Amino acid sequence: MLELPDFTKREFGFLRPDKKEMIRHLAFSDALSLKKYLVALPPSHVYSSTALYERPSEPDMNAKGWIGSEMIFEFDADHMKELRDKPNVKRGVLDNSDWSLVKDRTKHLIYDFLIEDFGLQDKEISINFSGNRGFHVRVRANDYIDLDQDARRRLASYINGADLDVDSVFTRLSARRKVREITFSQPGWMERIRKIMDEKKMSAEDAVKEASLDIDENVLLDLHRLIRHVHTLHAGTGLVVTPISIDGIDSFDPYVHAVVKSDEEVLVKMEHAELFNGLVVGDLIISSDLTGRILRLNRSVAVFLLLKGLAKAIG
Amino acid sequence: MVMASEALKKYPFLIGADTYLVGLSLSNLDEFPRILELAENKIRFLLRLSKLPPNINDKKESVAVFTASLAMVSFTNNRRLIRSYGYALSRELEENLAMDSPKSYLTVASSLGMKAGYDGQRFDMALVDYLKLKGIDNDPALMLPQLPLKRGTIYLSPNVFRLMISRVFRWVVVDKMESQMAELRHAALSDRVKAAINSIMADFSKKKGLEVDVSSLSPVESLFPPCIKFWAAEMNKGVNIPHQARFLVATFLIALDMDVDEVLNYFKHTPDYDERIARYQIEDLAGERGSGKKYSVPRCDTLRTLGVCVCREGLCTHMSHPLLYYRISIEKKLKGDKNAGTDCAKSFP
Ligand code: SF4
Repeated sequence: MLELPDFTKREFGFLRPDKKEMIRHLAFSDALSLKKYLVALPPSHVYSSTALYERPSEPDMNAKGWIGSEMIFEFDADHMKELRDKPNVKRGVLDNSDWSLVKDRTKHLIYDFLIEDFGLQDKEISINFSGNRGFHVRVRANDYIDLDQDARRRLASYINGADLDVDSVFTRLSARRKVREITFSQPGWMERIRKIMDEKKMSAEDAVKEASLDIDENVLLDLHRLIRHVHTLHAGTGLVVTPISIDGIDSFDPYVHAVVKSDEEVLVKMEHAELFNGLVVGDLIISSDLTGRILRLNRSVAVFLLLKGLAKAIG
Repeated sequence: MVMASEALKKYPFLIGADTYLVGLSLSNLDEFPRILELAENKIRFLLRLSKLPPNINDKKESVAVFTASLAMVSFTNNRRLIRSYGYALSRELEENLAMDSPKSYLTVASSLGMKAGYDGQRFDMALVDYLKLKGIDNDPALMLPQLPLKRGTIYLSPNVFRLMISRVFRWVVVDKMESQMAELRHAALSDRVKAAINSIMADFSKKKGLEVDVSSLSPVESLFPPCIKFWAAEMNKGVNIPHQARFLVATFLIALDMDVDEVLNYFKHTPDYDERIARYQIEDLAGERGSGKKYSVPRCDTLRTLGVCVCREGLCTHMSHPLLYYRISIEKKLKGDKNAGTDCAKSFP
């Protein structure tokens, strides 16, 4: 379960519940030894590097022998301008329409940019539910792994449309009336802009806004990033960092599929249920009338509700 | 390897050219007086210090002259001269390519480590090979969003590919000259060679001195472009301005050769100011840390897209770069123009 390609070349990091500092520069020979370590000393957060190293346990970064780094794109609701100010998102609970938007952005990146423009293969792309408010898209392609920051910066500005000179798409038919017409069609950004302008009757500038993705350049440029390891728990939600196939993203429901199966049940008193009427968490359907009620819930569901302030522990 | 004479004469850096460099180095250049003279002529001609082109006979001479000229310029230890010469060489290359058939571009490109194909109409290049190219980041026409891209392949017209070759070439020669700098600094040169290099340096400085070199002047805030004035004033008022605006102000001030403390002064009143972090960031932008990469001031079209540009009037109507705005304003001021640097001043007093 804890497997990841090139497992032995990765650096691992852990954050213990009692400590603020991360324990890092650890390496494991296989997933089983990692599992043993986790059982012996359960940490709150488990991270592994997106970089591959000759000597991942070497504490001096320069001596690790960097081989390359996967490319990581993060789509988190709290970084998306349409969502970040919504009260429920601030609380860390997304409703179905929020998830649809996060999923749409993720798919736009994968299908339009990574596959259609960059020519990556499905098998070189993977998606993880981050365990909280979004998805990580990971690209593990031999040709791309050793790209330096300059190269990654070019990809980032391609995706967020920053270097796009919209005027170069047009000939100005009449400078005074500012009538513009696209004169030629070419794959990539130009075709994308033209299509949106035709279909949605938008200006070129709005088409760029519509089609570009505001990705976090720092994440993509960070060659030594540690991210949450797959199949471990996110300590802020109790949900599992879950790998998803590209075509499985639409049917993936984080509050159902990333909840740990547990036979244990606990008693909680529900609070603020009216804020999330209809939301499904594990096997619980939240409804307004649950506020104030005492429920016996599956442990993982209870943990999520407790951590999000939607329930209080009893006893 | 025997090269076609014409090709090597025009492109003296092609793979295999070094076969013709038997025994030539900067220290013994005076033993080859004709090469020395031609190299000096070439540098002067390309830097527009003289109107007489060097009269090079054949491929052997061309390779020797090219190599000697790089060594001579490296020896000056003057980065501006090195960059100018790199620029001039790339301009020469572009002109030569423009007179050749597009088919020949591939030979030149592969000598520079560029992998590409040609179908008789357009060139194609794998995206990953494009991403690894150096020296192409300052030309809008070469930026990825402007290029046709499909399924991991970019397509380039002969004109764009020619531009790309010349930019990569510029990077390669400048890099070569800069990396030779330290090694050549202690080379024992004959007086004749030293005199040739010194006279080039003197004429170059004299010529440059006549033009306005913005980084050599003390900064004149009243002539700063509207965007810099506006965002600096906002920060001074304690407003938390967008990241891109901070980046603009910092790179602009660094480009004027201000030292880190002077730059920090502009950021002192921002709400989240932390001197240690800010200093670190400025040093990073100035290329004094980590990667050593010095960040360039963004162009106006980028700033417009980002919503950081604040003016569309006067000089700013068609402005391409904030540094150019500054430079033109200085020139206007020197000519006595009272309105220099006042565009959009009324909109944000
Ligand atoms: S046009 Fe350029 S120089 Fe003028 S305000 Fe806009 S960004 Fe600044």
